[in-house]
Amino acid sequence: MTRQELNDDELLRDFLNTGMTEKAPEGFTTKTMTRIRIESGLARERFPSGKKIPLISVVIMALLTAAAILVPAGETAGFGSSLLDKAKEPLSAIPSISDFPLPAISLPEWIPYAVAGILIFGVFDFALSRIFHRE
Amino acid sequence: MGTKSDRYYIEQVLGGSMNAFSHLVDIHKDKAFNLAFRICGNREEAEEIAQDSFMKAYRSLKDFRMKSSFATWLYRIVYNTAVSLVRSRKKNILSLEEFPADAVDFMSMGKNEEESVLEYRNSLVNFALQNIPEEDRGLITLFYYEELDAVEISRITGISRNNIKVRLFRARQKMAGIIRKAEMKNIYSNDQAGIK
Repeated sequence: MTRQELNDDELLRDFLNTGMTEKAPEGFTTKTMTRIRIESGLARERFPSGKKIPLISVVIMALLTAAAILVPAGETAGFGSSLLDKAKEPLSAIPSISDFPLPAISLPEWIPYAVAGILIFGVFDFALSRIFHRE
Repeated sequence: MGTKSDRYYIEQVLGGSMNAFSHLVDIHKDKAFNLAFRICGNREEAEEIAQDSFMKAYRSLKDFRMKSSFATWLYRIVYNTAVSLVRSRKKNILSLEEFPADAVDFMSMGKNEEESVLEYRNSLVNFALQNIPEEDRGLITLFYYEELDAVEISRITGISRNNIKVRLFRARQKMAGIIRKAEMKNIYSNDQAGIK
């Protein structure tokens, strides 16, 4: 260090003494911990609501799957069957696949139901996520 | 309670005790606040910076590998938070004419002479700090107030050791110049007012 540098250093050491460090304001720890608690609480709350959506879907899907397996074919009378008939009406207006010159593909019976189920639950998931993520 | 190390409290926090973090805040709050204050220059912002830094530290505690001390790690967060905040706001270069006070002004605040001189010197240091780049304010604080060496300062700021020495040299020169000028102005105005 040159003489000038030493003088500058000495001057700063004289002025910047460690006794004059600025102290945090009173209640700083309490305020900081309150902020941490609030923000961690909010983060925790956000997490389960995000998990509810797939959970509800899975429960409903499981119930419907169980019903489909347990209820014997042909016993879906009343409201359910009429609803199914209504659903079939627009489908009957669509030309049959056999009308098209496509090679005959034999799909398992459950495929259309699975596709319809995926579509319905996709819409259902979307609606639920909109409800739960509303601020 | 006071003899327990940072590591003990960190392990408690990682084990699920949020309250243990309050001990870490209590131990390090003054140093964090002082660094933030010297960089940003006002108490309200410094409190905000220090609180934000503790929040960030709490959130990232699981990623803290304990390769450095908790204080070094926390200083790094405070330094980066404060420097980013100061960079984001409009540059405000102060002239010496804007330093309004001398030791006599502080004596009128009902303090004794020794306290008044300390207050005056502290405000002059803050004034000089606000006239150097924000990164250098951090270097000066860590070097003179916390008495850390260039290696430790390099760990905190991410600036190379050689660069720290160069920056400290420039910052020291500028601050000393400002302090000398203010002192001269002080002596001159006191002479004119007939104060000895």
